[in-house]
Amino acid sequence: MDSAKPMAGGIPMVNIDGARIRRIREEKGLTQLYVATVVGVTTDTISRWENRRYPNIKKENALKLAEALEAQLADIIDHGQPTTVTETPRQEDIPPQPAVPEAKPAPTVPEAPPAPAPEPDAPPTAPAAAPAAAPPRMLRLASQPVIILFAAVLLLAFAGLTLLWWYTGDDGEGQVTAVRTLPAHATPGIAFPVVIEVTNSASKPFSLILKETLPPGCIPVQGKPQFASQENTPPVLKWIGKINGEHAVYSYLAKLRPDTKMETVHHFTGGVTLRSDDNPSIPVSGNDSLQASPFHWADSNGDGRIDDEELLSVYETYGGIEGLHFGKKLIEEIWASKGYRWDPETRTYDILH
Amino acid sequence: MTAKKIHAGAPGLLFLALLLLLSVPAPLRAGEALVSGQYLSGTGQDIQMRITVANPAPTTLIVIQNLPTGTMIDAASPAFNQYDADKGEVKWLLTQVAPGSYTLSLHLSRPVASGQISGEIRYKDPANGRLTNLPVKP
Repeated sequence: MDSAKPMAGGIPMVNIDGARIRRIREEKGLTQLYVATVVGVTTDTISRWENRRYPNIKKENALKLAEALEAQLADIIDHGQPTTVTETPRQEDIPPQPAVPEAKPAPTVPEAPPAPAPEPDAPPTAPAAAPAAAPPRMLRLASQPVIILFAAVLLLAFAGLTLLWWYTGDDGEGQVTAVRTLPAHATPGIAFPVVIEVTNSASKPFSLILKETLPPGCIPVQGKPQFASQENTPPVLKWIGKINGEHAVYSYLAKLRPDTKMETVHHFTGGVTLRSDDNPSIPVSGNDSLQASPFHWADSNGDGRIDDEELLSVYETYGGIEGLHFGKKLIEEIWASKGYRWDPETRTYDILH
Repeated sequence: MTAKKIHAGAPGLLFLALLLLLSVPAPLRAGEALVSGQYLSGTGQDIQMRITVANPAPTTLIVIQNLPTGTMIDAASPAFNQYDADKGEVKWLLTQVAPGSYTLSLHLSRPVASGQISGEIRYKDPANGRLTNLPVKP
């Protein structure tokens, strides 16, 4: 029952209600950046959609848009004007083209929705007139010292609470940090774990998008929780999540391509986008580089064995992540042995007993 | 009169504040061990060590039992992960540790005298990630 209609080329299109989209987004405290990141378009595109420059968009994008707005598709469709599109219908998803007739760029479009007509039942806007119109009984009551004192105490309490809220309260997101834990080295072809811990000083739940860009020579193997999307060159992992407590852990396994040259260094980058924060992205700090090495990633000092401290470190860092298969069995086997050696021919570790 | 009242109430308020401070539950006090170990049996053929883990518990423990070199082990509970007979060193790896008590037992092929054995518990302190070596004597 949506207003989808196949266009030339067989792509289902829908008309969206830009004003409604803006209203939903603002009501939910979502930024254009957040919505744009979820949908996979630019903020300019979102701005144009909201300003109804391109009301006819791909149904696929409309579905993503509804998901980003935590709404149903029906909520964002323009039911009133299903066929009154004047712009070129199949150009809506791409960033602004120079050929677009409107010369003014998007930022000049007012951010606020169009000024509404005065509401018929709007409250009177003449507070100065109120005291004059107050009945004499109220004046009599107000003149009583007890009432005045009570009102003053209430006012002070209100002011105090407001100040307290102003200084200690927040709008859901406090100081957000994201820290990556990554081994210093790994053997090409052998999976290693990466953990990104996001912490928030506020206790209210909030939504975020975590994007992790792997080095070009790196292959993602597993995600906990599962990453939402993955591009190929370079691999980009994306998680869209909601943090209910003070911290959340995102982890994944990856491996360097088997033909990676030893001693080469590979860099990881990442960022967190909050749903109602105007900052572009909070970079993921912590370890960001990994060297290709014949030593196992758990053998942090590269001495050809996994000692007690290295084993305990592995378990403290990665052991608590349910379902992350980082090769406990091999690590314990090496720990219980006299050491190990990388065999480049078989691409396995020889355990020394 | 008013001043008198204020002075009379001040010690009471102080006492109340002190009472509130004292009634706040304190975290693990300094010096209180997260993990402790003791021998239930440290001589003869049966060696038993009890390990007690407090809250917050380290997730993983390595327990080491040193025996006289060349000692043969007939049985172990739970099964150990490493035994170097040349060094007489037995190692257990305990993972997903929860607060509580754990008993490790060995049945040896021949009895050992008191003072011939010793133990050690290794773990990472969850508060600071530091490696802790806790010696255990019979």
